[in-house]
Amino acid sequence: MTDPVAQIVPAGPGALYVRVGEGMSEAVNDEVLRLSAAIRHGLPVGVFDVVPGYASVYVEFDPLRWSFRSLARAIRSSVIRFEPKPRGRLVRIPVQYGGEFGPDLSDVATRNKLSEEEVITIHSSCWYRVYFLGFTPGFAFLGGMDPRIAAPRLARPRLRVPRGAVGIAGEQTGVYPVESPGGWRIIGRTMVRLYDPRNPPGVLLRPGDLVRFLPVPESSA
Amino acid sequence: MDPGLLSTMQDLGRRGYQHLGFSVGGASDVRSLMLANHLAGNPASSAALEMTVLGARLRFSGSALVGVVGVEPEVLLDNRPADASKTLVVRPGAELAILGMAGARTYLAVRGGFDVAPVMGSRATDLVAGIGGLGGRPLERGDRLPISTGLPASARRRVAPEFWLRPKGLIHVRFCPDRGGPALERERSLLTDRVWEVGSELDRTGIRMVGEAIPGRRGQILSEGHPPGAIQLPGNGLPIVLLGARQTVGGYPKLGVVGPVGLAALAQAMPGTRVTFEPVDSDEMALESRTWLAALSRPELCTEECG
Repeated sequence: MTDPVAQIVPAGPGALYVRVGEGMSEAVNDEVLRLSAAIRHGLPVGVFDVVPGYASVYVEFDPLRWSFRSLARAIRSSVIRFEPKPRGRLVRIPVQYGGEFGPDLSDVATRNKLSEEEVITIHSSCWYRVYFLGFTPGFAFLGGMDPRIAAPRLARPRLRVPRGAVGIAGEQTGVYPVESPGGWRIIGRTMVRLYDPRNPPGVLLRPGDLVRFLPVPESSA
Repeated sequence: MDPGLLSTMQDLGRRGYQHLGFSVGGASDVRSLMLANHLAGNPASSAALEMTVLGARLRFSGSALVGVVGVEPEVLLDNRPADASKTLVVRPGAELAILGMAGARTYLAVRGGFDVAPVMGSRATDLVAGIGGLGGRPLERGDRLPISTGLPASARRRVAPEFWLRPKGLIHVRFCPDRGGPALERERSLLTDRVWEVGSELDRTGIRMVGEAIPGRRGQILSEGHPPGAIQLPGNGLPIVLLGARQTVGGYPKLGVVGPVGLAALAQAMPGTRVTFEPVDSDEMALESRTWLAALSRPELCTEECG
Protein backbone atom coordinates (compact mmCIF):
# COMPACT_ATOMS: atom_id res chain seq x y z
CA MET A 1 0.00 0.00 0.00
CA THR A 2 1.46 3.37 -0.90
CA ASP A 3 1.98 5.98 1.82
CA PRO A 4 -1.36 7.79 1.78
CA VAL A 5 -0.03 10.88 3.45
CA ALA A 6 1.01 13.43 0.88
CA GLN A 7 2.72 15.94 3.14
CA ILE A 8 2.85 16.76 6.86
CA VAL A 9 3.94 20.32 7.66
CA PRO A 10 4.24 22.25 10.94
CA ALA A 11 2.08 25.31 11.64
CA GLY A 12 3.74 26.96 14.61
CA PRO A 13 4.81 25.06 17.73
CA GLY A 14 1.43 23.51 18.55
CA ALA A 15 -0.17 22.56 15.23
CA LEU A 16 0.42 20.79 11.92
CA TYR A 17 -1.31 20.04 8.65
CA VAL A 18 -1.62 16.68 6.94
CA ARG A 19 -2.12 17.74 3.33
CA VAL A 20 -4.05 15.43 1.05
CA GLY A 21 -4.21 15.98 -2.69
CA GLU A 22 -5.58 19.03 -4.41
CA GLY A 23 -9.04 20.45 -4.88
CA MET A 24 -12.53 19.69 -3.73
CA SER A 25 -13.70 16.19 -4.56
CA GLU A 26 -15.37 13.21 -2.95
CA ALA A 27 -12.22 11.14 -3.39
CA VAL A 28 -10.08 13.70 -1.56
CA ASN A 29 -12.78 14.04 1.12
CA ASP A 30 -12.85 10.26 1.57
CA GLU A 31 -9.15 10.35 2.34
CA VAL A 32 -9.42 13.44 4.57
CA LEU A 33 -12.13 11.77 6.65
CA ARG A 34 -10.23 8.49 6.83
CA LEU A 35 -7.09 10.28 8.05
CA SER A 36 -9.09 12.34 10.57
CA ALA A 37 -10.62 9.21 12.01
CA ALA A 38 -7.25 7.44 12.10
CA ILE A 39 -5.49 10.31 13.88
CA ARG A 40 -8.33 10.77 16.36
CA HIS A 41 -8.39 7.05 17.06
CA GLY A 42 -4.68 6.38 17.43
CA LEU A 43 -3.28 9.37 19.33
CA PRO A 44 -5.45 10.68 22.15
CA VAL A 45 -3.08 12.07 24.77
CA GLY A 46 -1.80 15.57 24.11
CA VAL A 47 -3.69 15.89 20.80
CA PHE A 48 -6.31 18.57 21.30
CA ASP A 49 -8.19 18.79 18.02
CA VAL A 50 -8.36 17.03 14.66
CA VAL A 51 -10.12 19.24 12.09
CA PRO A 52 -10.88 18.09 8.54
CA GLY A 53 -10.88 20.67 5.76
CA TYR A 54 -11.41 20.34 2.02
CA ALA A 55 -7.97 18.90 1.33
CA SER A 56 -6.18 18.71 4.66
CA VAL A 57 -6.45 17.57 8.23
CA TYR A 58 -5.42 20.24 10.74
CA VAL A 59 -4.13 18.89 14.07
CA GLU A 60 -3.62 20.94 17.24
CA PHE A 61 -1.51 19.50 20.04
CA ASP A 62 0.18 20.27 23.33
CA PRO A 63 3.74 21.42 22.50
CA LEU A 64 4.84 20.27 25.97
CA ARG A 65 3.93 16.68 25.07
CA TRP A 66 4.69 16.44 21.36
CA SER A 67 7.28 17.85 19.01
CA PHE A 68 6.32 18.23 15.35
CA ARG A 69 8.65 15.42 14.31
CA SER A 70 7.48 12.91 16.91
CA LEU A 71 3.81 13.56 16.17
CA ALA A 72 4.30 13.40 12.40
CA ARG A 73 6.01 10.04 12.84
CA ALA A 74 3.21 8.75 15.05
CA ILE A 75 0.60 9.94 12.56
CA ARG A 76 2.28 8.16 9.65
CA SER A 77 2.36 4.87 11.48
CA SER A 78 -1.19 5.08 12.86
CA VAL A 79 -2.63 6.03 9.49
CA ILE A 80 -1.16 3.15 7.51
CA ARG A 81 -2.90 0.52 9.64
CA PHE A 82 -6.29 2.24 9.77
CA GLU A 83 -9.38 0.86 8.03
CA PRO A 84 -11.79 3.25 6.26
CA LYS A 85 -14.82 4.27 8.30
CA PRO A 86 -18.30 3.11 7.31
CA ARG A 87 -20.50 5.67 5.53
CA GLY A 88 -22.41 8.36 7.41
CA ARG A 89 -26.17 8.74 7.83
CA LEU A 90 -28.82 9.92 5.41
CA VAL A 91 -30.37 13.13 6.74
CA ARG A 92 -33.42 14.82 5.25
CA ILE A 93 -33.90 18.49 6.02
CA PRO A 94 -37.33 20.05 5.34
CA VAL A 95 -37.08 23.53 3.82
CA GLN A 96 -39.65 26.22 3.15
CA TYR A 97 -38.43 27.72 -0.11
CA GLY A 98 -39.05 31.22 -1.38
CA GLY A 99 -41.47 33.89 -0.23
CA GLU A 100 -40.48 35.57 3.02
CA PHE A 101 -38.10 32.68 3.76
CA GLY A 102 -36.17 32.92 0.51
CA PRO A 103 -35.73 36.59 -0.40
CA ASP A 104 -33.03 35.81 -2.96
CA LEU A 105 -34.75 32.87 -4.70
CA SER A 106 -36.04 34.88 -7.62
CA ASP A 107 -32.62 36.47 -8.05
CA VAL A 108 -30.92 33.06 -8.23
CA ALA A 109 -33.53 31.96 -10.76
CA THR A 110 -33.14 35.03 -12.97
CA ARG A 111 -29.34 34.87 -12.97
CA ASN A 112 -29.48 31.28 -14.18
CA LYS A 113 -32.40 31.75 -16.61
CA LEU A 114 -34.54 29.31 -14.66
CA SER A 115 -37.92 29.53 -12.98
CA GLU A 116 -38.09 29.56 -9.20
CA GLU A 117 -39.68 26.08 -9.31
CA GLU A 118 -36.76 24.79 -11.35
CA VAL A 119 -34.25 26.18 -8.84
CA ILE A 120 -36.13 24.47 -6.01
CA THR A 121 -36.29 21.18 -7.92
CA ILE A 122 -32.58 21.24 -8.74
CA HIS A 123 -31.57 22.24 -5.18
CA SER A 124 -33.67 19.48 -3.62
CA SER A 125 -32.93 16.67 -6.08
CA CYS A 126 -29.61 15.36 -4.87
CA TRP A 127 -27.77 14.09 -1.83
CA TYR A 128 -25.11 16.50 -0.61
CA ARG A 129 -22.10 15.13 1.21
CA VAL A 130 -21.03 16.83 4.43
CA TYR A 131 -17.35 17.46 3.70
CA PHE A 132 -16.61 18.87 7.14
CA LEU A 133 -18.01 21.23 9.77
CA GLY A 134 -16.65 24.63 10.69
CA PHE A 135 -17.06 28.42 10.70
CA THR A 136 -19.80 28.25 13.37
CA PRO A 137 -20.98 25.30 15.48
CA GLY A 138 -22.95 22.96 13.26
CA PHE A 139 -22.21 24.66 9.93
CA ALA A 140 -21.75 21.99 7.27
CA PHE A 141 -19.61 22.52 4.17
CA LEU A 142 -21.70 20.61 1.62
CA GLY A 143 -20.39 19.20 -1.63
CA GLY A 144 -22.27 18.35 -4.78
CA MET A 145 -24.40 21.37 -5.58
CA ASP A 146 -25.50 21.56 -9.20
CA PRO A 147 -23.65 24.46 -10.88
CA ARG A 148 -26.84 25.35 -12.79
CA ILE A 149 -28.08 27.16 -9.66
CA ALA A 150 -24.82 28.82 -8.70
CA ALA A 151 -24.96 32.50 -7.73
CA PRO A 152 -22.33 34.87 -6.34
CA ARG A 153 -22.42 36.20 -2.80
CA LEU A 154 -24.22 39.49 -2.20
CA ALA A 155 -21.98 42.49 -2.83
CA ARG A 156 -23.03 43.80 0.60
CA PRO A 157 -23.58 41.09 3.19
CA ARG A 158 -26.70 41.25 5.36
CA LEU A 159 -26.10 42.24 8.97
CA ARG A 160 -28.35 39.45 10.18
CA VAL A 161 -29.15 36.21 8.46
CA PRO A 162 -31.66 34.19 10.50
CA ARG A 163 -30.92 30.82 12.02
CA GLY A 164 -31.94 28.04 9.64
CA ALA A 165 -31.47 30.11 6.49
CA VAL A 166 -30.61 28.00 3.44
CA GLY A 167 -28.31 29.79 1.03
CA ILE A 168 -26.10 29.68 -2.02
CA ALA A 169 -22.69 31.30 -2.36
CA GLY A 170 -20.85 30.66 -5.60
CA GLU A 171 -21.08 26.93 -6.27
CA GLN A 172 -21.69 26.06 -2.63
CA THR A 173 -24.88 25.64 -0.65
CA GLY A 174 -25.32 25.57 3.10
CA VAL A 175 -27.52 26.26 6.10
CA TYR A 176 -26.82 28.91 8.80
CA PRO A 177 -27.05 27.12 12.19
CA VAL A 178 -26.98 30.37 14.17
CA GLU A 179 -28.02 33.88 13.32
CA SER A 180 -25.00 35.73 11.96
CA PRO A 181 -24.01 38.33 9.38
CA GLY A 182 -23.64 36.83 5.93
CA GLY A 183 -23.45 37.33 2.21
CA TRP A 184 -25.05 34.13 0.99
CA ARG A 185 -28.12 34.34 -1.23
CA ILE A 186 -30.97 33.01 0.87
CA ILE A 187 -33.44 30.75 -0.94
CA GLY A 188 -35.30 29.17 1.97
CA ARG A 189 -35.38 28.34 5.66
CA THR A 190 -35.49 25.21 7.77
CA MET A 191 -36.85 24.88 11.28
CA VAL A 192 -34.52 21.95 11.95
CA ARG A 193 -31.85 22.91 14.47
CA LEU A 194 -28.42 22.20 13.07
CA TYR A 195 -27.04 23.52 16.36
CA ASP A 196 -28.90 23.42 19.65
CA PRO A 197 -26.99 24.96 22.59
CA ARG A 198 -29.50 23.54 25.09
CA ASN A 199 -27.93 20.10 24.69
CA PRO A 200 -24.15 20.50 24.27
CA PRO A 201 -22.56 19.89 21.85
CA GLY A 202 -25.96 19.83 20.10
CA VAL A 203 -24.61 19.52 16.56
CA LEU A 204 -26.83 17.55 14.19
CA LEU A 205 -24.54 16.70 11.28
CA ARG A 206 -21.20 14.91 11.00
CA PRO A 207 -18.65 14.77 8.21
CA GLY A 208 -19.57 11.97 5.85
CA ASP A 209 -23.34 12.35 6.36
CA LEU A 210 -25.46 12.74 3.23
CA VAL A 211 -28.02 15.55 3.34
CA ARG A 212 -31.09 16.07 1.16
CA PHE A 213 -33.42 19.06 1.24
CA LEU A 214 -37.18 18.44 1.16
CA PRO A 215 -39.43 21.23 -0.10
CA VAL A 216 -42.22 21.86 2.39
CA PRO A 217 -45.41 23.56 1.20
CA GLU A 218 -46.01 26.86 3.01
CA SER A 219 -49.50 25.90 4.11
CA SER A 220 -48.22 23.13 6.35
CA ALA A 221 -45.83 25.44 8.31
CA MET B 1 -21.25 46.28 40.23
CA ASP B 2 -19.70 47.54 37.00
CA PRO B 3 -18.97 44.94 34.35
CA GLY B 4 -16.43 46.95 32.35
CA LEU B 5 -16.35 47.17 28.56
CA LEU B 6 -16.21 43.49 27.61
CA SER B 7 -15.66 41.10 30.49
CA THR B 8 -16.03 37.37 29.97
CA MET B 9 -15.08 34.29 31.93
CA GLN B 10 -12.20 32.53 30.17
CA ASP B 11 -9.86 29.67 30.83
CA LEU B 12 -7.39 28.11 28.37
CA GLY B 13 -10.24 27.36 25.95
CA ARG B 14 -12.59 24.60 24.84
CA ARG B 15 -10.60 21.85 23.19
CA GLY B 16 -11.76 18.82 21.28
CA TYR B 17 -14.74 20.27 19.40
CA GLN B 18 -13.26 22.33 16.58
CA HIS B 19 -14.32 19.59 14.13
CA LEU B 20 -17.95 20.42 15.03
CA GLY B 21 -17.39 24.14 14.49
CA PHE B 22 -16.78 25.26 18.10
CA SER B 23 -14.01 27.86 18.50
CA VAL B 24 -11.43 27.12 21.16
CA GLY B 25 -11.69 30.64 22.59
CA GLY B 26 -10.19 31.12 26.03
CA ALA B 27 -7.92 33.87 27.26
CA SER B 28 -6.45 36.04 24.51
CA ASP B 29 -3.33 36.52 26.65
CA VAL B 30 -2.63 33.13 28.19
CA ARG B 31 0.42 34.43 30.01
CA SER B 32 -1.57 36.90 32.13
CA LEU B 33 -4.29 34.31 32.79
CA MET B 34 -1.78 31.81 34.12
CA LEU B 35 0.07 34.41 36.23
CA ALA B 36 -3.23 35.61 37.76
CA ASN B 37 -4.06 32.02 38.65
CA HIS B 38 -0.70 31.49 40.33
CA LEU B 39 -1.20 34.62 42.44
CA ALA B 40 -4.62 33.25 43.44
CA GLY B 41 -3.20 29.83 44.27
CA ASN B 42 -5.15 28.13 41.46
CA PRO B 43 -4.12 25.60 38.81
CA ALA B 44 -2.73 27.61 35.90
CA SER B 45 -5.64 26.71 33.62
CA SER B 46 -8.51 27.76 35.94
CA ALA B 47 -11.18 30.12 34.67
CA ALA B 48 -10.68 33.82 35.38
CA LEU B 49 -12.45 37.00 34.37
CA GLU B 50 -10.96 38.57 31.22
CA MET B 51 -11.54 42.35 31.19
CA THR B 52 -10.98 44.37 28.00
CA VAL B 53 -9.61 47.91 28.21
CA LEU B 54 -12.05 49.06 30.91
CA GLY B 55 -12.00 47.01 34.07
CA ALA B 56 -14.80 45.83 36.32
CA ARG B 57 -15.84 46.82 39.82
CA LEU B 58 -16.85 43.93 42.07
CA ARG B 59 -18.05 43.52 45.64
CA PHE B 60 -17.05 40.33 47.46
CA SER B 61 -19.57 38.83 49.87
CA GLY B 62 -16.94 36.56 51.42
CA SER B 63 -13.19 36.66 51.87
CA ALA B 64 -11.02 35.76 48.91
CA LEU B 65 -7.47 35.54 47.64
CA VAL B 66 -7.29 37.29 44.28
CA GLY B 67 -4.78 37.69 41.47
CA VAL B 68 -5.10 40.58 39.01
CA VAL B 69 -2.63 40.51 36.11
CA GLY B 70 -2.41 42.58 32.95
CA VAL B 71 -0.17 45.46 31.92
CA GLU B 72 0.10 47.79 34.92
CA PRO B 73 -3.57 47.58 35.92
CA GLU B 74 -4.70 50.26 38.33
CA VAL B 75 -6.40 48.43 41.19
CA LEU B 76 -8.31 49.84 44.15
CA LEU B 77 -9.27 47.69 47.12
CA ASP B 78 -11.86 49.49 49.23
CA ASN B 79 -10.90 52.68 47.42
CA ARG B 80 -7.21 52.39 48.36
CA PRO B 81 -4.51 51.62 45.74
CA ALA B 82 -3.50 47.96 45.85
CA ASP B 83 -0.26 46.37 44.61
CA ALA B 84 -1.40 44.16 41.73
CA SER B 85 1.99 42.50 41.39
CA LYS B 86 1.05 40.35 44.39
CA THR B 87 -1.81 38.20 45.70
CA LEU B 88 -4.58 40.46 47.02
CA VAL B 89 -6.30 39.51 50.28
CA VAL B 90 -9.94 40.57 50.06
CA ARG B 91 -12.16 40.69 53.17
CA PRO B 92 -15.92 40.05 53.19
CA GLY B 93 -17.86 43.05 51.89
CA ALA B 94 -14.80 44.59 50.24
CA GLU B 95 -14.95 46.32 46.89
CA LEU B 96 -12.32 45.63 44.24
CA ALA B 97 -12.10 47.98 41.27
CA ILE B 98 -9.87 47.72 38.21
CA LEU B 99 -9.81 51.30 37.01
CA GLY B 100 -7.51 51.32 34.05
CA MET B 101 -4.87 49.25 32.34
CA ALA B 102 -1.94 50.04 30.09
CA GLY B 103 -2.62 46.86 28.09
CA ALA B 104 -5.72 45.62 26.30
CA ARG B 105 -6.66 42.76 28.64
CA THR B 106 -6.51 42.19 32.41
CA TYR B 107 -7.32 38.91 34.17
CA LEU B 108 -8.89 38.50 37.60
CA ALA B 109 -8.56 35.09 39.26
CA VAL B 110 -10.01 34.03 42.61
CA ARG B 111 -8.69 31.21 44.82
CA GLY B 112 -10.92 28.20 44.25
CA GLY B 113 -12.12 29.36 40.86
CA PHE B 114 -15.61 30.20 39.66
CA ASP B 115 -18.35 27.78 40.61
CA VAL B 116 -20.08 27.50 37.25
CA ALA B 117 -20.56 24.19 35.47
CA PRO B 118 -18.13 23.60 32.62
CA VAL B 119 -19.71 23.10 29.19
CA MET B 120 -17.99 20.57 26.97
CA GLY B 121 -15.03 20.49 29.32
CA SER B 122 -14.39 24.22 29.65
CA ARG B 123 -15.63 27.35 31.43
CA ALA B 124 -14.55 29.57 28.53
CA THR B 125 -17.29 31.84 27.18
CA ASP B 126 -18.15 31.27 23.51
CA LEU B 127 -20.20 34.25 22.38
CA VAL B 128 -21.04 32.70 18.98
CA ALA B 129 -22.12 29.32 20.32
CA GLY B 130 -23.82 30.95 23.30
CA ILE B 131 -22.28 28.59 25.84
CA GLY B 132 -19.81 28.66 28.70
CA GLY B 133 -18.95 31.03 31.54
CA LEU B 134 -22.04 33.03 32.47
CA GLY B 135 -24.42 31.31 30.06
CA GLY B 136 -22.43 32.23 26.98
CA ARG B 137 -22.60 36.00 27.45
CA PRO B 138 -20.44 38.82 28.84
CA LEU B 139 -20.61 40.01 32.44
CA GLU B 140 -23.53 42.36 33.14
CA ARG B 141 -24.33 44.77 35.93
CA GLY B 142 -25.95 42.91 38.83
CA ASP B 143 -24.40 39.53 37.98
CA ARG B 144 -23.33 37.35 40.86
CA LEU B 145 -20.16 35.34 40.24
CA PRO B 146 -20.20 32.25 42.47
CA ILE B 147 -16.82 31.26 43.82
CA SER B 148 -15.80 27.83 45.08
CA THR B 149 -14.85 28.23 48.71
CA GLY B 150 -13.61 25.92 51.42
CA LEU B 151 -10.04 25.58 50.16
CA PRO B 152 -7.21 26.21 52.61
CA ALA B 153 -5.46 29.53 52.11
CA SER B 154 -2.50 29.42 49.74
CA ALA B 155 0.75 31.32 50.16
CA ARG B 156 0.79 34.87 48.88
CA ARG B 157 2.83 35.19 45.72
CA ARG B 158 4.32 37.90 43.54
CA VAL B 159 4.98 37.87 39.77
CA ALA B 160 8.71 37.27 39.15
CA PRO B 161 10.45 40.32 37.66
CA GLU B 162 11.30 38.62 34.36
CA PHE B 163 7.58 37.96 33.77
CA TRP B 164 6.51 41.54 34.39
CA LEU B 165 4.62 43.14 31.54
CA ARG B 166 5.37 46.75 30.63
CA PRO B 167 3.59 48.88 28.05
CA LYS B 168 5.55 49.25 24.85
CA GLY B 169 5.14 51.56 21.88
CA LEU B 170 6.89 49.11 19.53
CA ILE B 171 6.91 45.33 19.73
CA HIS B 172 8.80 42.76 17.67
CA VAL B 173 6.77 39.64 17.08
CA ARG B 174 8.41 36.37 16.08
CA PHE B 175 6.65 34.09 13.61
CA CYS B 176 7.27 30.88 11.65
CA PRO B 177 6.87 31.39 7.90
CA ASP B 178 4.30 29.09 6.34
CA ARG B 179 6.03 26.52 4.14
CA GLY B 180 3.18 24.25 3.16
CA GLY B 181 0.83 26.59 1.34
CA PRO B 182 1.03 28.73 -1.81
CA ALA B 183 4.33 30.52 -2.40
CA LEU B 184 3.95 33.98 -0.90
CA GLU B 185 7.58 35.01 -0.62
CA ARG B 186 7.01 38.52 -1.91
CA GLU B 187 4.10 39.08 0.42
CA ARG B 188 6.12 37.73 3.33
CA SER B 189 8.99 40.14 2.61
CA LEU B 190 6.57 43.04 2.64
CA LEU B 191 5.15 41.81 5.95
CA THR B 192 8.60 41.76 7.54
CA ASP B 193 9.87 44.96 5.91
CA ARG B 194 7.00 47.15 7.03
CA VAL B 195 6.07 48.56 10.42
CA TRP B 196 2.44 47.90 11.26
CA GLU B 197 0.06 49.28 13.87
CA VAL B 198 -2.48 47.42 15.97
CA GLY B 199 -5.98 48.30 14.79
CA SER B 200 -8.70 49.61 17.04
CA GLU B 201 -11.19 46.73 16.81
CA LEU B 202 -10.17 44.82 19.99
CA ASP B 203 -11.86 41.72 18.64
CA ARG B 204 -11.38 38.36 20.35
CA THR B 205 -11.17 36.57 16.99
CA GLY B 206 -8.04 38.31 15.77
CA ILE B 207 -5.79 41.35 15.81
CA ARG B 208 -6.18 43.48 12.72
CA MET B 209 -3.04 45.20 11.53
CA VAL B 210 -3.09 48.68 10.01
CA GLY B 211 -0.50 49.96 7.57
CA GLU B 212 0.46 49.99 3.92
CA ALA B 213 -1.56 47.19 2.33
CA ILE B 214 0.30 44.26 0.79
CA PRO B 215 -0.63 44.39 -2.90
CA GLY B 216 -1.35 41.51 -5.25
CA ARG B 217 -4.29 39.51 -6.53
CA ARG B 218 -4.60 36.43 -4.40
CA GLY B 219 -7.44 33.99 -4.47
CA GLN B 220 -8.80 32.18 -1.51
CA ILE B 221 -7.40 28.87 -0.40
CA LEU B 222 -9.56 25.82 0.26
CA SER B 223 -11.02 26.21 3.75
CA GLU B 224 -9.04 24.47 6.47
CA GLY B 225 -8.35 24.67 10.19
CA HIS B 226 -5.81 27.19 11.46
CA PRO B 227 -3.86 27.86 14.68
CA PRO B 228 -3.91 30.82 17.03
CA GLY B 229 -1.18 33.15 15.79
CA ALA B 230 -1.87 32.41 12.11
CA ILE B 231 -1.19 35.52 10.01
CA GLN B 232 -4.02 35.72 7.48
CA LEU B 233 -3.79 37.85 4.37
CA PRO B 234 -7.26 38.87 3.20
CA GLY B 235 -8.01 40.57 -0.11
CA ASN B 236 -7.48 44.09 1.25
CA GLY B 237 -3.82 43.31 2.00
CA LEU B 238 -4.00 44.09 5.72
CA PRO B 239 -2.86 41.13 7.83
CA ILE B 240 -4.93 39.66 10.64
CA VAL B 241 -3.27 37.66 13.44
CA LEU B 242 -5.73 35.08 14.74
CA LEU B 243 -6.56 34.67 18.43
CA GLY B 244 -8.24 31.87 20.40
CA ALA B 245 -11.80 32.87 19.43
CA ARG B 246 -11.06 32.61 15.66
CA GLN B 247 -13.52 30.66 13.50
CA THR B 248 -12.53 27.03 13.22
CA VAL B 249 -11.75 27.14 9.51
CA GLY B 250 -10.68 29.87 7.11
CA GLY B 251 -10.12 30.42 3.42
CA TYR B 252 -7.57 33.25 3.41
CA PRO B 253 -3.93 32.56 2.52
CA LYS B 254 -1.58 32.50 5.51
CA LEU B 255 1.90 34.01 5.70
CA GLY B 256 2.96 32.15 8.82
CA VAL B 257 2.21 31.61 12.49
CA VAL B 258 3.11 33.92 15.37
CA GLY B 259 4.36 31.90 18.35
CA PRO B 260 2.63 32.00 21.76
CA VAL B 261 5.15 34.49 23.21
CA GLY B 262 4.50 37.04 20.45
CA LEU B 263 0.77 36.36 20.46
CA ALA B 264 0.47 37.13 24.18
CA ALA B 265 2.33 40.40 23.61
CA LEU B 266 0.11 41.28 20.65
CA ALA B 267 -3.03 40.49 22.65
CA GLN B 268 -1.94 43.13 25.16
CA ALA B 269 -0.94 45.76 22.60
CA MET B 270 -3.25 48.74 22.66
CA PRO B 271 -4.52 50.18 19.34
CA GLY B 272 -1.77 52.20 17.68
CA THR B 273 1.09 50.08 19.06
CA ARG B 274 3.70 49.65 16.35
CA VAL B 275 4.59 46.08 15.39
CA THR B 276 7.27 44.39 13.31
CA PHE B 277 7.26 40.71 12.34
CA GLU B 278 10.47 38.66 12.50
CA PRO B 279 10.78 35.23 10.91
CA VAL B 280 12.34 32.39 12.88
CA ASP B 281 12.64 28.74 11.99
CA SER B 282 10.34 26.07 13.35
CA ASP B 283 12.85 24.45 15.68
CA GLU B 284 13.87 27.72 17.32
CA MET B 285 10.21 28.69 17.71
CA ALA B 286 9.34 25.32 19.22
CA LEU B 287 12.16 25.54 21.78
CA GLU B 288 11.31 29.11 22.79
CA SER B 289 7.62 28.31 23.08
CA ARG B 290 8.06 25.16 25.13
CA THR B 291 10.43 26.84 27.57
CA TRP B 292 8.01 29.73 28.03
CA LEU B 293 4.90 27.56 28.42
CA ALA B 294 6.66 25.22 30.83
CA ALA B 295 7.69 28.16 33.03
CA LEU B 296 4.18 29.63 33.04
CA SER B 297 2.66 26.26 33.96
CA ARG B 298 4.47 26.12 37.31
CA PRO B 299 4.07 28.80 39.99
CA GLU B 300 7.60 28.36 41.31
CA LEU B 301 9.05 29.19 37.86
CA CYS B 302 7.22 32.45 37.21
CA THR B 303 6.22 33.74 40.66
CA GLU B 304 7.84 34.03 44.09
CA GLU B 305 6.38 33.60 47.53
CA CYS B 306 6.09 36.80 49.48
CA GLY B 307 4.82 37.87 52.86
